[in-house]
Amino acid sequence: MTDSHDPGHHEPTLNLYFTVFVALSIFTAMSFLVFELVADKLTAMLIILGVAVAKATLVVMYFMHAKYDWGRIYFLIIPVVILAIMMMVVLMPDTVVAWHNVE
Amino acid sequence: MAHAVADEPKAHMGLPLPNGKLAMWLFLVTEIMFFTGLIGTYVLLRNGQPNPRTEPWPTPHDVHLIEGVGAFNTFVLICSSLTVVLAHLALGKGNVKRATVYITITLALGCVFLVVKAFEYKSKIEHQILPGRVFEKLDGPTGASYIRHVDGQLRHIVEHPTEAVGAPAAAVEAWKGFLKTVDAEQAAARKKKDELDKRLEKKDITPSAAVEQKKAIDANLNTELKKQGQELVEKHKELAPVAASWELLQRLPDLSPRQVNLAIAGSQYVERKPALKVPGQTGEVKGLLEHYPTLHLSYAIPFGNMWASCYFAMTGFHALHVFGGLVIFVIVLLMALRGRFGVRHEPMLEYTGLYWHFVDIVWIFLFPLLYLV
Repeated sequence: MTDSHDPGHHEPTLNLYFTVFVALSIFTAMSFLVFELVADKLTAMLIILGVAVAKATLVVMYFMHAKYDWGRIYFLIIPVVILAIMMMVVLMPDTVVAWHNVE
Repeated sequence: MAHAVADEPKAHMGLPLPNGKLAMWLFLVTEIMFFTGLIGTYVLLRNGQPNPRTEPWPTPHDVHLIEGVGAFNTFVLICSSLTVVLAHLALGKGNVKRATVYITITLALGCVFLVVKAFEYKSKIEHQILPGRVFEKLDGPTGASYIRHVDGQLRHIVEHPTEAVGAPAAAVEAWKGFLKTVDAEQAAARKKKDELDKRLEKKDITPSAAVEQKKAIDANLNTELKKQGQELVEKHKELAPVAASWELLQRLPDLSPRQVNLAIAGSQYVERKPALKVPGQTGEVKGLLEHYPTLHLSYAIPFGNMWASCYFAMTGFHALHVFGGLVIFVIVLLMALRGRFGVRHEPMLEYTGLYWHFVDIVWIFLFPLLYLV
């Protein structure tokens, strides 16, 4: 069986939920501050999108219990994450990469 | 009967995962692909513009999007994600009452999100930032229809000051009086010009002298009206945007579409959208909307229609998902009201929570993509 989680940590606690909530709030404030304060657009974009990925990971892992169910749902999550990233990537080349070189 | 225990999580052959949870996760991964399609299309359209230097993608400010409002809504959804896990935790410990309270809070937070969204949509509708309603270019026939459109908007402001700027009754009375004076003065000026024409026919006056005198009549009229307008605005400060709109309306026939756009949006805006530049224009021009941001006046937004299509498609589908979650919470609360909600519903609440967190995650990505990046 792939189920490898530690039974002692099966139930997330109130404290953990609040910690995640505080982290999410800080991350939200952070992306807003980066938008206001960081002048370089590319740097700001990378930080802001990185923060969004971190927030989503926190929600999936703790609020959606993926950390505890990982051994039983990874086969659903991993393929779809790969497909989603691939879909974004394959949409880009024509207009985004090639268009600017035409003219 | 088996019905009461059907919701209980049971291990099955293969993976020790309850059917409900497996089904919810399967549903969510299809949803991930659905939103990936929408977000991917947005990224594609946004980055695939042909002239990013002269016609850059609209900034949030260009399309009346307020970043703080988006951040607030993000926080609201994060709070609701917390309350939904707390509800699940409470129900797991057998505290049905506390779980019900947390679900009620979640429902309220979801409603707050939708109300904020509704206000945002209202502002888009008022400013006509809708697919197919945005003027993107100002050359050719589009320019002519842009001027007609602005003409209508200016007339509306001038004729309905209360609706447009919330002017009080006394100010509206004074404004109407001013418009009557304008009519009278204009009629008088026309009469003087007609007399000049008659004298010209009788060869009482040389054509060049007639032209000179007509110019003088117009100049007099303009100075007089301007003076009266200024006096009026000094007395009723709330009429300033109306008077400024009226002034632009008077100048409208002499302006090109790009000049009208400049007068409304200002030179700082045009500087950022070089495709809209007025040939020969130098120096700073303060736009009508920079002085009075609440006026409903259209200005050209390159790629504004595409922006609006992406915005409404993504936030619309997201809002629909929020609404779907709220329906489930209402059902749970109705069950609780009738005393039919109990510890046995813990798995069902967990699956609802999974869905709700997913909706939160979608917003976690939509917020930076639409408001910040």
